[in-house]
Amino acid sequence: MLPFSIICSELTTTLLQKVVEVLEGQSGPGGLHENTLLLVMGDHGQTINGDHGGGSAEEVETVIFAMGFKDPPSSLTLERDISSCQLDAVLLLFSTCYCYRCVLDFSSVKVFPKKTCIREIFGSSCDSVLDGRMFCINSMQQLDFAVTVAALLGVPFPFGSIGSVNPELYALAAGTWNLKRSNDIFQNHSSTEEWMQNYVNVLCMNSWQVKRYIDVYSASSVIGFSNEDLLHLSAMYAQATDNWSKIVTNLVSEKSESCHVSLPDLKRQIDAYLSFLASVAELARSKWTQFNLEIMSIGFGVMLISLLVHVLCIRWLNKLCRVYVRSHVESGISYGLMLSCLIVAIRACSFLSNSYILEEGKVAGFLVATTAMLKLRYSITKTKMQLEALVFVLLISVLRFCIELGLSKQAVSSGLADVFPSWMLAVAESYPFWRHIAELLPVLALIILAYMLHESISRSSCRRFLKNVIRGTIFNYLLIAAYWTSESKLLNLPLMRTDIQRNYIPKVIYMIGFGQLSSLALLQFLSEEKTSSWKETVVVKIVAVLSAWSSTIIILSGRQGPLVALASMAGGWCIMRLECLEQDSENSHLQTFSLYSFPVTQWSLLAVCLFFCSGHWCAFDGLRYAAAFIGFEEFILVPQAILLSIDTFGFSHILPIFGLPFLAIQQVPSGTGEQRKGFFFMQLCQVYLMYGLITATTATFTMLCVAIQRRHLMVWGLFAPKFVFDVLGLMLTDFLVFLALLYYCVQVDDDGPRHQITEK
Amino acid sequence: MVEKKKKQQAVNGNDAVPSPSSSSSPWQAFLVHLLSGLGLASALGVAHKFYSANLVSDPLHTLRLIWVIEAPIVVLIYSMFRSNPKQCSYWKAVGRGILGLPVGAVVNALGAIALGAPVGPKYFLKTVNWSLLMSLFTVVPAASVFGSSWTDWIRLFGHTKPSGSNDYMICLPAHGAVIGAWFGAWPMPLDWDRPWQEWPICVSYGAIAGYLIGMVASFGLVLLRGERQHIKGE
Repeated sequence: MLPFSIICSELTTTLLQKVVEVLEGQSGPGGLHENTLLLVMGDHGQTINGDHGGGSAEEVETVIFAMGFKDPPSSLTLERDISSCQLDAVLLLFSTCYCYRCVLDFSSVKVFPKKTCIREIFGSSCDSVLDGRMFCINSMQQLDFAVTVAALLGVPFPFGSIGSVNPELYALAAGTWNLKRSNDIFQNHSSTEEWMQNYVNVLCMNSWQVKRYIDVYSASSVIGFSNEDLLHLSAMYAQATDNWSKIVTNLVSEKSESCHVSLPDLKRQIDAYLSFLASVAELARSKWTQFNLEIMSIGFGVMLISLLVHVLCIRWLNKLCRVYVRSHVESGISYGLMLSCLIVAIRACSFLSNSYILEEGKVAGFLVATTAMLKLRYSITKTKMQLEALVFVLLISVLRFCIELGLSKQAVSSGLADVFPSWMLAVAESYPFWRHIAELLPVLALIILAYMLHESISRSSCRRFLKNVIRGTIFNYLLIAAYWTSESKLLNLPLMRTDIQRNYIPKVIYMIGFGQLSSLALLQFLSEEKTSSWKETVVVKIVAVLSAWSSTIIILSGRQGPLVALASMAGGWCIMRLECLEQDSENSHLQTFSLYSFPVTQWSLLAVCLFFCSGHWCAFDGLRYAAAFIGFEEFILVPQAILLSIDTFGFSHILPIFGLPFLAIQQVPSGTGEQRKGFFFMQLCQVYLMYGLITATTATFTMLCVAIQRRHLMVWGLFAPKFVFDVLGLMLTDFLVFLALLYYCVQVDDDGPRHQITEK
Repeated sequence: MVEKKKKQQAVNGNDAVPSPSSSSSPWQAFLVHLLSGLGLASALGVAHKFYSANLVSDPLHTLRLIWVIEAPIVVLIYSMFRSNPKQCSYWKAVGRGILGLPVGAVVNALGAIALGAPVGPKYFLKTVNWSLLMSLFTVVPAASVFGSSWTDWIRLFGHTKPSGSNDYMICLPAHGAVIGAWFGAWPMPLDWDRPWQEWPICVSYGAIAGYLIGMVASFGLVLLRGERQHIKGE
């Protein structure tokens, strides 16, 4: 399989010449290549600038070169498609299909858009390679290739193929048939008729197989073909087979001296079969490869409207906030806002190319590193928080290597192993020291996390209930540490029976996590305690919900879990701290809108990075199926689906969304209780709306990309999974934002109706 | 916009007292940029003529040739515009520039790696040579002119508030090179299988293009500023 451009190149032409020469040298009677058929083909074409895999004519059309080395017994005349062609070599424009089921093609090629290339090959090589031989140029559908080759090889046709045997290619092999028998018995029987007889037989089998597939498909599929279409096809098939059986029975009953079918009959029969096959292909093409453009445009319109609603709501909340802080400055378009818009736009536009989708993690890392460096530069000019900015840059650099490791895993799984990661893994495997480190590091990270949680509650004076929830998480962390230590090969502790520890500890952790979350939900219905600091209570609430989720997410993510959790915590802390850089006297005129845009963009990019860091990618083989079986031996659909989705979206959606109020709480000014709460709620809504806007923008561009590339080679391998992940992510984001708003703000009763508006 | 700029200039004029040497005439700026540009062009020409190599066919040696040829030009020229010629001799400025070369290379290399430049033995020398070239575009001129004057560095690279023609000559090509390199990295993930998509070829192309654009912009601004000062003087 060679791309079109390579087939076109001079190198290939000369190579082909050499191959043909060698083969011809051994193609004499009894030679090694007496019965060889040479096929050289490209799998797809290419545009001038190097794009391939798309739906344009340049990309879907390629070349197939076929050559038989045995001369046919006599000149074989095919009057159907080609005018009098003694077939030694066939050059076919081969139009590949990148559409549904990969057995169908939708573009029928009548013209030769690559005339230059054809001329190039023949101009330079037809004198030598095809010296004195006739050749034929025509076009065929890729759909027909599999059955044609099957017919040539004499193997059964592929079950799911609905192509028809191509007459030109099939004719090439005519020379290799043993026609002696027929020549002996029927002296006056021309080889053309013999060939046509064979072709009719092949088409008969071909039609039978296609009919069988259509019947099986219609019986099993939910949305199959319509009844009229099926009846029409059955009628066509019945007519063709009846006709043929009539001819055959006539032949047998009459016992005519020339025991073969007349040429016009054969031609009629070929036409009947071919028209049946063509109508099957046409019907399948119309049913399987057509997209419902109406529904697609409605969906796209809905996305655009939702983007508009987001923007309008953000602006509206901005106005409200300005009333609260009593600032009347109109100019609010800041450097940060422009930059974040630019970054979101660049990221969204990058989804229009399959290459950037494939390397989405790297692109997100690149963008977030850029923002981190800009922050570092800003912090240096402000001469404060340089440490935080530096830590953030370092963290992003570390994440970048993790993402590359994850991408290399993806490459390994798709069979494109790189040398670099395997070398690294080999080092990790061969040195016991590194293995010990790898065993110890997660436990150490867990202990650090537990210690931090402990610190966060020991200092605060919030209510006991929240503290207990967080203590539950600390207990969970200890359980996870115990679970991993007992599983590790280092210690080999015979503490518990293996099946007990393997299944019960995770289940206990899930249950404690669920209990924590439901008790936090119940907390909303309890009356609010009068505590010393409202702000502190909110912070502890955020920590509580994050910690409640974290234990489940960490155990599902495996040993990398605590490290990724630490990284996400450090990243979030840096973004939160760096947010305060903007918030000084100089920038007090800025709108909240501008203040939040940059940190929220960073937050969402960091979330994307964490998704790729934790070993996921946007494909169905990027799901960590093993995570679903932690704590379960056998397959139970519902709990395992929930576990798998928590693992997939845990670090990238659940934690970032519940942690987002950290950004809003920074900006709450001092004031009276109720006013402050109202202000916080508006800020929170704004932050969530911005986050939703960023997610929706990327999802919209993914939709646009999928709509444009719906005929692409990689549509099932790349675009469709990406689309599914993005749309699921968007829905999950909206749902989680809704939950988070309920959780954080339900006490502010007068703002209740706004939920519906902002959530839309 | 124009008013804002004027205000900014007035503020800068009040705040920092620019030393008399810190402004150079437009033709000086033109000459500096012309020489730097010629240095680049001649390096590429030498690579093509004598080694029959270019950035695509042999990025490692071409980059090395470029920075080896460009380094003396940049250091020697920019040292003539040192900010305090009274206290600092010409050769001291040259020394600062030479010292700035590896330091700037380290900064550039670390930045590139944070942004996703490939690491490993295969890329090590390429990254080193590329970062030396980037250092010549960004850090070395400023090191020659300002030395260790942190406030000047912050003014140029932190706030991007160039005030004199010297500042324009240093600041704009440096920013151009960095922004150009940033944009130059974008074609790298594309699956076009072109040789120039390799690290650091397209990034170097982007940096050189940005540097050239920055030089043109800097010359234009110096020219504009000179005219305005001329009008003011009258």
